[in-house]
Amino acid sequence: MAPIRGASKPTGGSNSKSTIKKPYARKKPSTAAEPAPKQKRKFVPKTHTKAGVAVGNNKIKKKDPKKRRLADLAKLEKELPKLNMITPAGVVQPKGRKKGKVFVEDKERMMTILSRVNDSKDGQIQSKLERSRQLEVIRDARRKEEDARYEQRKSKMETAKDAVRNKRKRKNDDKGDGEERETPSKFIKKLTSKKKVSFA
Amino acid sequence: MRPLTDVETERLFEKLANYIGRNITHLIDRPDDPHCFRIQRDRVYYVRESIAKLATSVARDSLLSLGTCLGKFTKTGKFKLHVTALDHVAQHAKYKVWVKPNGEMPFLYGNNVVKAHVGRISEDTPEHQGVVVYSMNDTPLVSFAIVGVYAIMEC
Repeated sequence: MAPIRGASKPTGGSNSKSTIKKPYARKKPSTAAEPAPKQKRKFVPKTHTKAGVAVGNNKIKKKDPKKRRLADLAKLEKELPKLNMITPAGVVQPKGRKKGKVFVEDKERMMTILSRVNDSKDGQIQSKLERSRQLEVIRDARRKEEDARYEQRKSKMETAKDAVRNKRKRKNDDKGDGEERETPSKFIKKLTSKKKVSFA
Repeated sequence: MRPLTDVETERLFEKLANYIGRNITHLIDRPDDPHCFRIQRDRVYYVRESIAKLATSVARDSLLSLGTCLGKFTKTGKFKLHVTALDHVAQHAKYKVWVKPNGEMPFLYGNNVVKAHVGRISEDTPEHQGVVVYSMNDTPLVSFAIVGVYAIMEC
């Protein structure tokens, strides 16, 4: 058989393999032509490792770390006992209310405050007036009582005076029956005149 | 400068009610010339609303006063009436005492009003009641006073 023309003989050496062109080998496309788009292989998840161990489901969606954290916290909160919480009374503020000072700007609120204040003040004034009226009544009663007592004492005195006068009158009347009646001037003279003693 | 809070308003009204009673409504409700109460630092002012609105453009630190000063809040939260409030209080005073001319000066020098110096007094004035003291020609004197027991009893 005649050797095929153009076919180079293997020269031998280490790189002889690379130079051998096999007739059935595919021809490489020319460098000038664009490389044909590679056909994408369909991704088939591995069910087993090379060692033959079954692989678990790796297709778990990774959550957003924030959400994950929140979920973890919520889970923790559920697990914690309720009694373990500390809520100081001064700190907790009801939601939906204004923070800080609440001003009185509308007239109605001012009026309600005013009416409340007025009621309390009126009550105080009324009680004061009532008390003063009661004291006045008591004072009047005491004054009347004192007056009555004074009158009574006065009348008693008058009766006593009258009795003394009548007594004296009666005495005088008794004496005047037998003797000559003494005139008041004579009586006074008699009282004022001193007894005189004369030596002979 | 800011409006008063609930508690502050109550304290202010309690004090004013000692002298003008229910007449506080005449201070609040003035449709012809609306006024309001404003607090700047610790002082309470009775201000015309238009002036109060203008005063919002002045910084708190630079605003010294506005309107009529009624009094001040102490650090313990009590309200003290100032003599500048006399104009408004004297107009609506509930209980009044008129002092004879010979008693004016002793009173203004800080002495009590003695019975001999009392010219007139409002009827049904209860004891220990806040009153406004006037001279006999209806000029409010520069002070508020508390009527003592004896003044009420003897007059």
